[in-house]
Amino acid sequence: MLLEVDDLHVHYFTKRGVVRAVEGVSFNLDEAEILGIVGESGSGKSTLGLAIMNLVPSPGRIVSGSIRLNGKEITRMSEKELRRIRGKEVAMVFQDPMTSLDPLMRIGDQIVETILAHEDMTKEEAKRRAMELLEEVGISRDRFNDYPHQLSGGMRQRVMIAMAVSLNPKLIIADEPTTALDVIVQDQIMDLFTELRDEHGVAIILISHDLALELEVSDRIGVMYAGWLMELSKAEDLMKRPLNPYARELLKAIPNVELEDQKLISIPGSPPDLHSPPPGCRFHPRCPDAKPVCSREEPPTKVVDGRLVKCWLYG
Amino acid sequence: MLLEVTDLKKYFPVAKTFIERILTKEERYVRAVDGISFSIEEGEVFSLVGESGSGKTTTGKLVLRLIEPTSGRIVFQGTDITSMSKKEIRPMRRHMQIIYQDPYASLNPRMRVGEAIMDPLLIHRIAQGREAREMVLEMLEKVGLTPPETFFNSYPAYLSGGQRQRVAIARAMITRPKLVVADEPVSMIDVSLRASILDLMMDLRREFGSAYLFITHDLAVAKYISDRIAIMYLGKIVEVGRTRDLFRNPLHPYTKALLSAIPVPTPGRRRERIKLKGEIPSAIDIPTGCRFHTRCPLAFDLCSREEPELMEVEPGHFVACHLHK
Repeated sequence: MLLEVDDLHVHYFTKRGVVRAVEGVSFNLDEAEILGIVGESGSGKSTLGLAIMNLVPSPGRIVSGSIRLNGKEITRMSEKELRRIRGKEVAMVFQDPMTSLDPLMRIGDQIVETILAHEDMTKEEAKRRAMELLEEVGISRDRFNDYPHQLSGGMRQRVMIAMAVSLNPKLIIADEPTTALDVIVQDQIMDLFTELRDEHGVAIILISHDLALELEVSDRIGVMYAGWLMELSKAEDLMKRPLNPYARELLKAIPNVELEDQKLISIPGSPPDLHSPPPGCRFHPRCPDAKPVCSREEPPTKVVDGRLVKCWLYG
Repeated sequence: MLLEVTDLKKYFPVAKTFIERILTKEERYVRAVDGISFSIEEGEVFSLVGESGSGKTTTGKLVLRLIEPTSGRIVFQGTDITSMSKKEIRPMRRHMQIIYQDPYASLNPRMRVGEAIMDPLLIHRIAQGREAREMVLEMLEKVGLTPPETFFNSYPAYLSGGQRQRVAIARAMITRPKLVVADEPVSMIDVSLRASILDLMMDLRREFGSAYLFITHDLAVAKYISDRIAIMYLGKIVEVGRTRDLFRNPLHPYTKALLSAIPVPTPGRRRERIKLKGEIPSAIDIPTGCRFHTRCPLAFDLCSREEPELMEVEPGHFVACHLHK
């Protein structure tokens, strides 16, 4: 098993109180698997991604639970050990490449620098490797000396992916990597991710608000809501027979261009403020299947047909 | 016809560096909107769909005369508004409203929700005092912000994104406008709530008889609400037709590529796709001939020489492509 996350809790300690951004999340990830993490704003999906890198920003921190990457416990690692692991074993790609790229440095040099920081290579070897990487992500070698502002948004994201794979990590965490891009470019980037998986065996955690995209690309999908993992299923199972009512209602709310005269149904209400989440199940105020118990007690997470589901319907 | 746009253009001059000013006299322009024509009927939902840089947002602003066109003609309810002064156009504003993408930026944080919605009533002298207040409360009820008295007195900061967008819609619709330009009104709204915002806009349209010029990058959203759709690429309309025709029989290679790139909630994925190379070129250096030829998988020699005109291929379905002559 490449990654094992067990009963993870991440809290933010803000002036207004404690925000339980990730609560009791558990899942495993195999090599060469694409796991989708889907959720709306405030679902905790981005915090979960950062936690796996042990990068949760202050005033947040991992309060309990365990994250094992290749059997090594990440939550108890020193900053020095973490630096060695980041990039080499797990790398991250964010929504806005400009926040991660140095605007004053040529893109090729940025990749070379990343490689030299971790690998025992000469500068010439690193440069050769950087050129190969650029080519692999679909950027011509002659752009090696370009600055980030000379590239389009899609190309910048390709550079980020080249940097992420430069140290051959086993796992890439991509947080809304195509949300700022147009659909045609998004499609090209998704091809790139699937290639990395197919040809290099890289596992990918794809974090997105876009359930249609997740269903197309991911092997399994975790559906998050207000800090909880509501369901974890194979993409096919989730599409055909969602177990958790939130997952089911979300599927009714997304358009499918291949259908005629589709009627979309929104979920009434809106996601809760995590400073004061509702008691019991966090989804119960919006849930069409809510029973009395749902407003009183937190539902347990159960295994149903090899799938994880957190809902009193299966309690 | 409610709105008729003919050969509309908007060129933005490109700022030159000092050296460029010395070396060349030639002005360079971003040809954001480069000669487009379309019309919208009363009560119709007409969508402009395109990627970033296609000129769709600029078109929306031009139609409302929020920015000055470089050339072309805009006729609204039979009146040519292309060269009207700000003062002349003011009384028409109640009939042409706009809804923006970002409900966090479009509302004044120091203004109570009720006041924000009442504002257009006062500006256009439609109602005042108690009558205006009654109209606002009724509107709050219509957009689903209940109890209306509570929402009337709240500030935007206490509302969710979805609720704010309902306020923005109420504010735009309270004057019962004939035309509403809606620029990406749901792209910042949570997925679980989008349909309810779209349904609300469609309900109000039915009730008030308003038409929408709906601007979006999302073909799936456009399909859900539009009577007709125009596809824009680099400042031009490349295809336009009834929604059903456009989806059943897309003609332009760009439309086909756009359609095939939309994620469909079907696992296993990776349908047969029309792959395009690269990205949309800069609107400063628009390719010669057909502006799509540099990325078109079906381009032939004519495409780089001659710009194709929009031609009617089936009733009401137009395409600008040399393959369809």
